[in-house]
Amino acid sequence: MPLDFSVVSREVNALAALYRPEERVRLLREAQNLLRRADPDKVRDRLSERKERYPWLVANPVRSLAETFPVPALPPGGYSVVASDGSNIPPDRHSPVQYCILSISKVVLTYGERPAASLQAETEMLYGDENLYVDGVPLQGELLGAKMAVRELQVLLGTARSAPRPRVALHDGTLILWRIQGQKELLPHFTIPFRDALDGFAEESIPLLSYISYPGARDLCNALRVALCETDPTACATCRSGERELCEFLGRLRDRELLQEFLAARHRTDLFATVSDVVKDYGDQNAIHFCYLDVGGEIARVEMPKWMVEDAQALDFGLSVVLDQCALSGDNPPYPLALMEAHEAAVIDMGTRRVVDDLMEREFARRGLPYIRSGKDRSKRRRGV
Amino acid sequence: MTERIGEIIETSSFLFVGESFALNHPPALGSLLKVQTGPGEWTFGVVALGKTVAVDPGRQPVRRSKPDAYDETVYAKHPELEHLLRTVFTVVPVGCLDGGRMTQRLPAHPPPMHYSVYECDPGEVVLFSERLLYLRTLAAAQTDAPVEQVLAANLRWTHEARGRDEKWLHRAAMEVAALLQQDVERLLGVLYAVDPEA
Repeated sequence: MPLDFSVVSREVNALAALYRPEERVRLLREAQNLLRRADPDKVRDRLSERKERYPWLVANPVRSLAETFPVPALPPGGYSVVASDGSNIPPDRHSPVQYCILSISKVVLTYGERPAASLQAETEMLYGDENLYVDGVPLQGELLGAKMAVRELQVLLGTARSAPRPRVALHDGTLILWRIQGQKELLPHFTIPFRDALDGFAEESIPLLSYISYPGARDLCNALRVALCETDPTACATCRSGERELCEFLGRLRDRELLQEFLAARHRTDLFATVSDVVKDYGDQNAIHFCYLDVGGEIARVEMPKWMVEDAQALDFGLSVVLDQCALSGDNPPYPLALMEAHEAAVIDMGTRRVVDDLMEREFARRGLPYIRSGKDRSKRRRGV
Repeated sequence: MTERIGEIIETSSFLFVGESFALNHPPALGSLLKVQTGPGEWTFGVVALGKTVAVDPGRQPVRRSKPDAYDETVYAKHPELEHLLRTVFTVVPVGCLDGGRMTQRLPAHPPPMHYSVYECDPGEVVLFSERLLYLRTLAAAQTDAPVEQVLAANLRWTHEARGRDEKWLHRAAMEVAALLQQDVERLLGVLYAVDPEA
């Protein structure tokens, strides 16, 4: 049945009334003033002194909290940008046969005297318990996501190795496998191959940047809460501070909102280390760092391994390629063109999913084996009236 | 053998569509093409439409030019476009070569999907266009293109391919006049499109 729009309309009104722009603007200005005057040493010290980790992620400043830098113009001559993305057909509990299909794209766009493009994808089919379970846990949800992240990074490395120089590798989304960090025993299955791939980028000095559009992270806002608090930043229930209103506002604010109208166009913030536990398994040279970048119409988060933070040339070149790719997308807000094509090259559309299912069913029928999907799934497909 | 210029991606008894190997370069409107359908068997057809579209119908082409980068520079700045766009052309089958005989009737079967589309050499054009029955098939074709313009384009193209054969053009114009005698507006449309100075 369709939605009851009289309800939706009434609630939309009520929802919009909750937003009080004047209040928000005042607190945002206070938050940005705090960002300018906060002491990065205090944040660093409190992070290193604390024994147990904060219940939220805190940006650990490499140098400053508030300094910003223009991204240099792209050096003359061309470049290659390599990107990868993934799509999958997950194991389906309504199907009599358990399998999983991964589609990992590998896109190379080369600019300069000899422009060229390669838009391809690798297909991988997984079946059998040894491939569909990790230490007895089914490969689905967050584990499948982590598996995809590993394969995307491996394919990205393999593609980048043979791309014309100078080259930059772009990864979509975060480099922090935080979704599986609670599953301690399973972690090595993912973090070890992930670290090996990260090592590969470092060994060949291939700049690797991960691009997060419209980031939801609050790491920098949380760093300001740590800087603001004179007692324990996690003991909010007993807090009597006069700064409580600003602190609570920071707890709801996202970094991209804090930096809107703070970062100038084509500028980046200073660099920060992530304090995610899972990153410790990546090895010191690959510890994930990040900055925010104004790409013109949007604040993006860009993550990178630590070795790039220490290699100004790789960092500047990588970020200038990101901005050039955003300019080439022609969209507003912009998005790196190579990542857009990587997504398009990887995607498994509904038609393809049906073809795979039909293939499976026909092969089973040919061998005289029953292939009966669940009653619920059949009823959803048939939708009889 | 003449050059392969494309591959069939849609086929039926009355129309087939080829994808051009060269982006933005479909064969000329009205030109004669051929497809080998078996040993010594060829289908001949006339190009009725050429267009360049997105490979994925769900993705619309968007503006790519900048004040300092337009026309062919757009393709240098966007090498991916060669993979995301494609040029296709529609062909009206008008005759076939079977057992060494050139006939101006529709072949019994549509040319097979994914088969190659070739240009015709001048000798084949002369041989095929000696008889003009094919103009009737062309005039009756159900295509997205205005038929008069396709007829006119074929007359112009064949006239050139036959070494500016004025006699042939006169004969073809008479054939079209006979064909469209009940519809003077359409006839004038063809004749003006063949020679606007006339």
